[in-house]
Amino acid sequence: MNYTVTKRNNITIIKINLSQATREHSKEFKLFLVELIQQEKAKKIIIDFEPVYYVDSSFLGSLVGGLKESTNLKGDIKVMNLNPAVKSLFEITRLYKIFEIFTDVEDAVLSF
Amino acid sequence: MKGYVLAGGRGKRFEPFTKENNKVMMDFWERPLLWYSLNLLQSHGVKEVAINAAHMPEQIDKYVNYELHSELNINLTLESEHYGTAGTIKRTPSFFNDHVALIPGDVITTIDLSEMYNNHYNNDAIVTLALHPNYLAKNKTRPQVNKITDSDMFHCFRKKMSGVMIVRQDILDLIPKKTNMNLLDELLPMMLDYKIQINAFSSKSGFYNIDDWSDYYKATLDMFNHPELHDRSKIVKMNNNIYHHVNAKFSKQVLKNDFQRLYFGENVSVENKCKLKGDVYIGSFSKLNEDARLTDSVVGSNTILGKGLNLNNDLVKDKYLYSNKNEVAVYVDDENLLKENDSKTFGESLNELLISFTDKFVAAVALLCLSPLFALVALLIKLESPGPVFYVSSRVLSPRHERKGKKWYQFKGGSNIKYYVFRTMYVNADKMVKKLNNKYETGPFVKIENDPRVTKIGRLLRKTSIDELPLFWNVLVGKMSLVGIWALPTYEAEHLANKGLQSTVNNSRQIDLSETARLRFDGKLGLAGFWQSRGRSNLTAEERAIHDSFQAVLTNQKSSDAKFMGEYYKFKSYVGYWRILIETFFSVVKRTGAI
Repeated sequence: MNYTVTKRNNITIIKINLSQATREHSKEFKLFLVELIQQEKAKKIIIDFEPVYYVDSSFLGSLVGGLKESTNLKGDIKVMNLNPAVKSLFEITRLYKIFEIFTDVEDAVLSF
Repeated sequence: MKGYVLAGGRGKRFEPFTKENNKVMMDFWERPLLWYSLNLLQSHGVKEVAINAAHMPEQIDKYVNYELHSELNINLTLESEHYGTAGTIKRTPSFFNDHVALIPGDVITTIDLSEMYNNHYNNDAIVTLALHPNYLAKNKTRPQVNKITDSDMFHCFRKKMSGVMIVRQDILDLIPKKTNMNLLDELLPMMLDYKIQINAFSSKSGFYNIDDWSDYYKATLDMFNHPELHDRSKIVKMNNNIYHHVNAKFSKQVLKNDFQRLYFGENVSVENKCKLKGDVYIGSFSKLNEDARLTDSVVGSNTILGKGLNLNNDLVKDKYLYSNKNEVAVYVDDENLLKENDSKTFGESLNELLISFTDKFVAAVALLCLSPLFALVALLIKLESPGPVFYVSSRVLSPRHERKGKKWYQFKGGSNIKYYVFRTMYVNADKMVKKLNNKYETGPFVKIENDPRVTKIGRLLRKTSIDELPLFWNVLVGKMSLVGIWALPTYEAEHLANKGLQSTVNNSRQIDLSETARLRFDGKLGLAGFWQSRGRSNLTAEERAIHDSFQAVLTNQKSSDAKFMGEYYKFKSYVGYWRILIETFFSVVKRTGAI
């Protein structure tokens, strides 16, 4: 599986098992997220990017699509374990303004 | 003991400098302000430091990870908004497994942190706050010197005396969850209300809170008394209290404004006989023309000082060019002075040359091969509906900003770029766009399906992207590149500049992508881009904004960003250029998503 889901209380943690999260995966990722939000009613979502060293704009577009879906239903998506280059990208493209970024899972869980 | 540098502030008082810079990255005696906090922590044996940033965090990230070369283990926390100093530390409980020294990022001090820690530890305090002994005299209201009282807190804010504190882990329990709270003016007074003791540490050490240009100016001058904090040899003292330090340029128009405090960025020019009063900071690489007057100001490095310039109590950084009142000759201190600031590396220049050559070559070949097709298309357009063959769309890449009203910057239409494309709509289509806006989708990126304004031949041209092929002419004449982002129609650019891009559902604001979306204004103009090659009109407004902004940002990197951007740096290269070009070509061939 490209995405592993674990639950902690009512928080859903999605681990992305890809080294490059790009447009090849962007459609399936959006569908996966939307289904999780709509069907399984996942409101508090943390996405763990640990193995990912490259994310492209299509994949992040899907992530924003997921966030839109989630905020519709009064939920939120936070991200965790960004590799330095990916973190740089979140910084210069100002995406950190819409996604809270964490380095520690406990901090992320407590932030909800 | 760990350290936490509080750098979450927006630095409003330093605008417009802080519009594009983080306050703690402000140059102070040849070093960013942040350096002083980090240096203080390191010199007192701190190994692990956290820094929070809500504004321009990439500057701090680049600095601490690629320029500073410090032994400190530094962790940068990003905040989507500033949560207040208490809200900030509440967000990273995992960091607070030890006592933590909290240092405001805009403070320069020589305080003895080790001694303060001992005092904090021995008194088993939750919080220890540093204060000048003047405020800690024993009197009726203060039976114990080491306890902070309400009146101390009052002094703290009035005199901006402190902000340096050491806290114990359990302080986090006192901070409410999801709060926007400050430590000094909210949490500590609240603790006093609940009779929770705050330990006081008396310190006579030098303390500068750089809160506005006036503080900056005073602190800069005062550094002469603190040689331990800097390399003294770098500033040259001239007569009449003028210190020459480092470059600046001010325009007449800007100077007409009656601001008490002014900051002018790099490459500013001051026109003849302009007067600058009050606390003025002039950035690097500037030019002060003849007879300009400057009082109580700080001028950046590599400034050209005009003949007869009147300086009074000013601080001018080094590498200056000074033309004396009585002499026509100029004295050049630095040979590189007049060279451009953003000099390109050989690789970058070669890259630009290759791209420009490829642009023109491909465009010329394409126009030549496509000319029979163009003639056919022109005929078909003429036959189907009355009107011209070409449609001229007036567009802007980035709106110009100008000072207007209370705000420093406000949108004003930028210079137009004319897009000649084949006409695909009926002649009066432009007038219908506002109605359609309301009907279909709001926001600056309108893409309407089954648009009734499009002609039959127009639909085919759009689907095959043939309508855009005349743009090769713009490429050939050097007005745009093959790879780059599209200029928006003026009304869309205006909307994006003024109102941003916010997703709204059920009339409530949801996700604000404005800051991300506006990055497209910094991009390079071109035909093929990320969003054209990745789905075209099938994309949502948000997705398109992300594609455009990514492209703008990734192709704008400097060679010094190579390490910082890692894998993303390759977009800047000639190979990256070809990759986008080929991807777009195949995407167009597949006709994905075109209406």
